[in-house]
Amino acid sequence: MNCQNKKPAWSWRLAQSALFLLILLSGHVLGQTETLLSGQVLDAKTGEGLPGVNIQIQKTASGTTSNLEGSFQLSGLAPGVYQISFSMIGYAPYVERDVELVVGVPVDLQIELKSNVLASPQVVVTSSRKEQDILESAFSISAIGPREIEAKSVVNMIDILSYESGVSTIKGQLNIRGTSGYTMGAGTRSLLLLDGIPMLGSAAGNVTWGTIPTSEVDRVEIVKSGGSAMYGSSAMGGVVNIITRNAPLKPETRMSTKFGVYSHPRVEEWKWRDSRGLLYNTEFSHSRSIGKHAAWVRVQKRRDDGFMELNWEEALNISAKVKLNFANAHSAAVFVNVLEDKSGLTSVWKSSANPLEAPDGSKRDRTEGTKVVLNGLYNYVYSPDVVVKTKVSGYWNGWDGYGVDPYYSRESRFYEEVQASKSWSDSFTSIIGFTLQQNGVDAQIFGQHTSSSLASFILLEKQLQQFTLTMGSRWEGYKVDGKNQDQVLSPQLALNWKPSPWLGLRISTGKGFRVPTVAEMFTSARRSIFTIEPNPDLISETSINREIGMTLLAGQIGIIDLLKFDAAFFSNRFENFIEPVPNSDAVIHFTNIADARIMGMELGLGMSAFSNLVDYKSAFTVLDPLELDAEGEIQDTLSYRHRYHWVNALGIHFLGLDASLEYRYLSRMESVELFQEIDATGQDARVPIHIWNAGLGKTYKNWHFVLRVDNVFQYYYTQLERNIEEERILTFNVERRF
Amino acid sequence: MRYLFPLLLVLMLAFIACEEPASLEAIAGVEGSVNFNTSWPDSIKGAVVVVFDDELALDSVSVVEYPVFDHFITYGDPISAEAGSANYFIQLEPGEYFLMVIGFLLEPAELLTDEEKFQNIQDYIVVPENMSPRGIIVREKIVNEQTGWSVRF
Repeated sequence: MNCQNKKPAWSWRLAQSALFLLILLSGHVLGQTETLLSGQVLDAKTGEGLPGVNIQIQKTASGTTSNLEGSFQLSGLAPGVYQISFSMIGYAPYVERDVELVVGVPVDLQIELKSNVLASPQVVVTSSRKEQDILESAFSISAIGPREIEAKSVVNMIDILSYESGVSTIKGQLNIRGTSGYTMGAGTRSLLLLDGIPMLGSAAGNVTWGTIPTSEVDRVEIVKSGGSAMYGSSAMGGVVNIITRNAPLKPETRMSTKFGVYSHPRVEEWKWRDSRGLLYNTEFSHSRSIGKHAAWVRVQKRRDDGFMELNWEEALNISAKVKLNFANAHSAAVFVNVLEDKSGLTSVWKSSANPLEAPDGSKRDRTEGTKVVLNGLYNYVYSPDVVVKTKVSGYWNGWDGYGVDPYYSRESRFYEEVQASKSWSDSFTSIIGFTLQQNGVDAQIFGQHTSSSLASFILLEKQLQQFTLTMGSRWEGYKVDGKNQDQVLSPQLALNWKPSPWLGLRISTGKGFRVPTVAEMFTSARRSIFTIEPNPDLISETSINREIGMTLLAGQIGIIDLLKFDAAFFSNRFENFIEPVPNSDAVIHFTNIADARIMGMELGLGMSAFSNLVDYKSAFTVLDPLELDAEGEIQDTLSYRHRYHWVNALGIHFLGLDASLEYRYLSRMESVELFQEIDATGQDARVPIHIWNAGLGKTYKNWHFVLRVDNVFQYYYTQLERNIEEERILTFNVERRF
Repeated sequence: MRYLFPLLLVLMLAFIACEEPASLEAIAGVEGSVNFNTSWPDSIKGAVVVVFDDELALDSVSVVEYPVFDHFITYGDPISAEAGSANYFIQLEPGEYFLMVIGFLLEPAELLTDEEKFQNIQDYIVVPENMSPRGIIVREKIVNEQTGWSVRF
C-alpha cells in the first residue's frame, strides 16, 4: 500500500543548484533605487481610487498593483522612456505612453480608467508566460473573468468551462477542440494549471476539480492552440490556467450558502426516489493583509445528492493562499488545499428503462479519498529587465473504492520549475526555464510505478513595428520505472500582426507531444462486459498543429458599446495517437493509432449594447475529427467528439438586477467505442444536446443573491454510452460580505 | 460590421433548426431475471438472452442451415459462466417477440464482437436442456416484466 516514489539523486542536485542560483542573485539587487515612479489610478466616473489595478512596465518584467487608495509606487527602474499599461477586470485597459524616468526626478501619474462591461479579461499571461494584450497574442485564447464566475455561482469550475468556445466535457474530462475525446479518465491532452502549476494527477493525468477553490478564482485563461512548446506533455491540445486571487488589502470575510433542489424526472417511468435530491454548499472565507503581506483562507463543505442513484458526493475542502511581499524585488506565494471527499461510483446505468438507477448489486459502490496540494511560487526581480520565477508543487492523493470490486490507489507528484525572463531591448524579450517532475503510483489497477521528466524551454519574442514574432521550443525527457521512455523536442513558431489598435491577426504552428500515462500503459480492469488490458509497448504521440486567426476588439459602434469578434481555422495532425480501442475479442487496449487529424473552425462573438444594458456572448465550433490510415486515407470518425458546438450567453442588467440566459448545443456524438446504437430496437440511442439555463442575480448592500435554473427544459441525453447526463436543478445562492 | 451579429445569429439558428431536439424518453422493452439451476458445464463460457420475432424449432437452432438470423432481433448483455442468476433488460420496439436463453462455447464478448464468429454463431451455441421460448408482447413506453425463468444446461 505504500506509495513508491523514489526521487533520483540528480533531481535534488538540480533543485539545490537552482536555490543556490537564486540566493546568489538575491544579493545583487539590494540597494538599487535610481528612479521613482508613483501615482494614483482613479475611476473615471466616480473619481475614487481603484485598488488592485495591475500596472505593468511594457517590454520589461517590472510591475506592481495599486493599493487601497489606488496609489502605486515603483522604484529602481533604469533611466529611460517607458510605456506603462494599467489594467483591471471591469475597466478598459489604458497605456500611458512615453513616460521618461530620470535619476533623482520623481514622476507622478494620475490615471483614470473607464469602466468596461465586457466581463472577459483583455490581458492574459498563459500563452507567453508573461502579461500580454489579448490582441497581441499569437494563439487562440479565451478568458473568463470573476464577474462571469460570480454570476453562475458554480461550485465546480468545470460547470463554467463547458460554456466556453470549443470546450466540452465528458464525465469531468476536459476536451478542447475535440483533442481529448474520452479516455476513461486514463489520460488527457488538455493541461490544467493552477497559478501556472500543473494540476493533473500523476497516474492517469486527470483532473480533480474539487481541489480548485472556485470562489477564490480571479480569472481563467484557456489557450486553445497546442501548448506543448511551453508546457510540455498533456498540453498538446491546449491549456487551462486557473489563476487564484491575491488577498485584497482591506480585510474581508465572505459567507455563502447555496441550496439546490433537483427536479423529479420528467419521464415518470424513471422516477427512482420519493423525495427530491438536494444540494448544499457552504463556504466561509477570510482575507486580510498582514503588514506588507496578505492571505486568504477558505473552508467549503458540500453535499450533493446528485440526480442519479450513484451521483452523490460529499466533500470538505480547506484551502489557503499567502502572498508574501518582502520588498520590491521579492515576492512569494504559498497555496495549500486539502480535500476530503466521498462519492458514489458508477460506470453505466441500470438500463435505458431505468437510466437514473445504479445496476443491481452495485448500489453501494463508492469511493473515499484525501487529496493534498501544496504549491509555492517565488518571484525575484533581479533587475528591471530580469525576473526569476520559481515554482514548486507537491500533490498527494489516496483513495479507496468500496462495493462489489474494492480497490485502492495512492499517488504522489512533485514538480519544480525555474524560469528566468529577460528584456534585451524594448522589442526583444526572452524566457528560459527548466522543469522537473516526479510521479509515483501504487494502485490496484495500475500496479506500482514511478515516472519522471526533465524539461528545458526557451521562448523568444521580437517586435517589429506592428508584428510580434514568437519562437519557442521545449526539450523534454521521460523515464518510466527508471527506464528512458522518450525524449522530444517541440518547437513552435507564431506571428501576430496588430495593424490597428482594434485588430489582431495571428498565425502559428508547432509540434506537440504527449507521453502515455501510467494508466494508459498499465491499467488492468474490467468495465461492464469489456476488459481493459495493459499495453506497456505504447509510445509517445506527437502532433503538428497549425492555426490562423483574428481578433477584433472595437467600441462605440452605434448602439454597441463594445464588440469582440474572434475567428480561427485550425488543424491538428497526430501520429501514434493514443486511444482506447476494443479489439475483436472485446478487450480494450490503449493503442497507438498511426494517423489522426482534427481540423476545424471557430467563430466567437462578444458584445455589449444599449449603454451596457445588454451583453451577449456566442461561440460556434465545427470539428472534423478523423482517423486515417498510413496512406492518409480516411478510416473512421474519431470517437467521443462532437462535430458541432455552439454556446450562447445573454445578460440583461436592469434595475439593479442581472438576468442571464444560456444555451448550449452539441451535435449528436457520431462515434463511440463500446456500445453501438441498434437501429432495430432503438437501444443505446444518442441524441444532440440542447441545454438552456437561466439565472437572476441581485446585489443589495453587502448581500449578493443568485437564483438559477440549469437545464430548464429537462432535456436528457447521453455522451458516454449508457450514462445519462444533467437533470434540472434549481439553486439559490446567498453571499454576505463583511 | 453592423450586420455581422444578426447574420451570424440567423445562420446559427438556421443550422440548429435543421435538427429537431430529441431528448431521451421512456422506452419499451423486456426485463427480468434468469436462474441457472445447476452448475455450468466447463464447455460453456457464458450465456445470453436472445430475442427473435418468431418461435424457433429448438432442436434445429444449432444446425447451420436453419435460418436463425432471419428471425433474430437482438440480445441482452452477456451473462458470465458460473452465475447463479442474472438480470437482463432488452430495449425493443413495440411488437410480439420470443425470448430464448442460449449458452456460448466461446467467451460471450469475443463471440458477440467478432463479426466473423458472430455470423457463424450456430457453431458456438448450446440450447439449455429445459429451454422453452417465452412469447411476449411489448407495448409503447412499457417494459414487459418477466419472472420465474429457470434454465439448466
